[in-house]
Amino acid sequence: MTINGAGLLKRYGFMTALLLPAIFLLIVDERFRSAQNLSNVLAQSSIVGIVAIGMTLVMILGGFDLSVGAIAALSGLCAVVAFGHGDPLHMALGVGAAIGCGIAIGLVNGVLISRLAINPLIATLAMASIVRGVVLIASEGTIYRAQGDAAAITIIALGRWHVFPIAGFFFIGSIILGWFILKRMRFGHYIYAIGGSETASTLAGLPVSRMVIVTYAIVGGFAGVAGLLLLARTGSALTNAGVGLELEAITATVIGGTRLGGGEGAISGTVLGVLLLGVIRNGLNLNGVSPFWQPFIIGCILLITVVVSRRADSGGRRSRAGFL
Amino acid sequence: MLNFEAIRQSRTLARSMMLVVGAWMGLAASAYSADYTIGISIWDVSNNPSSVPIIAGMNEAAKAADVKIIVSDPKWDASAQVENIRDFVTRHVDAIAVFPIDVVGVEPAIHEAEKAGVPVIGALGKIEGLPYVGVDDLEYGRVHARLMLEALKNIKGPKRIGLFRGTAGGSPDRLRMQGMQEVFKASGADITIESVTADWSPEKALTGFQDLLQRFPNKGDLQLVASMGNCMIPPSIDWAEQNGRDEIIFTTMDLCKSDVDAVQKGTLYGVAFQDVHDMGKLVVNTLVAMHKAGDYHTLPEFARNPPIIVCTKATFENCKGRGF
Repeated sequence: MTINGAGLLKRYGFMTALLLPAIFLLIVDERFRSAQNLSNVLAQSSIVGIVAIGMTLVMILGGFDLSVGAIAALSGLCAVVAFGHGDPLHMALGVGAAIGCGIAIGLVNGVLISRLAINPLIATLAMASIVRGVVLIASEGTIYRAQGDAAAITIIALGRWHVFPIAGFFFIGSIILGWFILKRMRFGHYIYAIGGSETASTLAGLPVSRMVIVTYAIVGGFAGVAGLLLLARTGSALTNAGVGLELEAITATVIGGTRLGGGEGAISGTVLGVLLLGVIRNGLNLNGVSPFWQPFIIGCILLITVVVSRRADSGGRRSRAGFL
Repeated sequence: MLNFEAIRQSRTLARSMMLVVGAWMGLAASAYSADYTIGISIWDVSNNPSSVPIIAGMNEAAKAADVKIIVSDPKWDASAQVENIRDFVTRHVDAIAVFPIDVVGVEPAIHEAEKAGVPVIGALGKIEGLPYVGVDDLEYGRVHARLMLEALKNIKGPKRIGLFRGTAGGSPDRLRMQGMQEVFKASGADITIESVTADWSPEKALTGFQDLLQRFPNKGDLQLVASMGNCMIPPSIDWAEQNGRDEIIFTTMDLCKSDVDAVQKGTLYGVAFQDVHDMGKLVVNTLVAMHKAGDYHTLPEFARNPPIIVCTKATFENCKGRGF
């Protein structure tokens, strides 16, 4: 067997480039490489990560979902209301309510996009606004706290099994589910096909409309799980929960190599994108970088990392419009 | 490839939505038949927990005084707030109250309103040259700093404070910080402030706190953690307890129910706060009184110097039953 250096670089250079900031911090910063800190980074990245896995599916399909942050907020609110004082039946109901609420809103998004032919950007933006409105109306703008035994929900976001964060198990579960859907199910192959060419997929007889509806429902389900974790992090359903979550998820997904126009992308890239964002933010906090400097530095590191990774990945192919 | 058909569709949809919104706004405006109408532009209804009790207070006062209020939400965007003010002028409101996102950025629009004969007051953010209702953010920062110094009085030597900031660059954050620094400098104490980006979000504050503990892992490295806004401290108190860092003292500004509970338990040393619900009432009552007096330049006596209340376990009566 021969080892082709160029091939290896093309195959792994992209991923290695995304890991560069983490590798750098692992070498130079003792606090960063402590097990406790790495555990924190994983736990903190899990919420964005879960949403980003869903976002990867919908972006490979050629869409977007800007309502995931709002869905997470509503899911958290549904859960905390259903939890009551925390008896096991109500806790189970709450978990079901959070995920069910996400799936239901995702289904509506899918119907708006596939049956009413509304652009995903507009449909999900409008849905985000509607859902945020529902959160404000239903909660009257106040903060709902987990009552009695229900406060134990914080264990899923803040608890650890040995040093491993329990939130990390949810993230890993989402990764496995996302990978399984994309790589092992016919459904996943259809997602790639529709994202590559919707017209060709329609002509080939794929159930495009149904696929779109189901994919958005899956994204909604992931957002529901993220909402449950957001609720668990603070023990409260906050009206501003999940603000900006959609953009973080899209950023991580695009950094991870998912093509904006659909048809290309992988869960592994998204996971690296999520971890890259988490590592940069953590590294800046650990080194006491001023909040005024953080957005600037994050932007620069992201640009440099993505330029390096794209050069390793594209092998010289370029799109002037940026949709390669 | 760009999907021009989708872009065309979304433009058409956007135009239709604008028409519907325009018609709705026209209907809403025509529904206001009261003699006196106040336009209110307030920071961000969904992302700033204080906004909701303020609006509730304003609604109560408006009902009692039989005046109409129109609330606009600029969503923490200073340029959107400028548009809110221009819109109020176009709608011929009788007076405007601005809860400024940035006390400087909003000035040009205020001058336009005044030229058009619409009086403006600043609320909970002092705008140069305007009558002002609410506590002075600079003084608010000073009061909080004095509370922190009181909390640290038994700790000898240099002190390090972790500070959860609001939205970087906004005037509440900037002025409160300036007030704190003035008091610390005047005290002669050797104090280092470690700023943490929190954007008024309890979830982001917790992430910042977890990173802060990694940065200062030993007991005695970090003496106090303070927050510029309400509800941001309790999740960090829980995290500190779970991780054996219960030596850290906590203080905060503004008040929500979980802050009150923490003060009562003694896990939160103290809170410096303004009663935002009462402030909402005060804004409306002040404008009504100014209208009756025919003088929009002089604040009525009752609106001058509203109190900044300090509540600790020893003075718990000050915050009992408050918060939201």
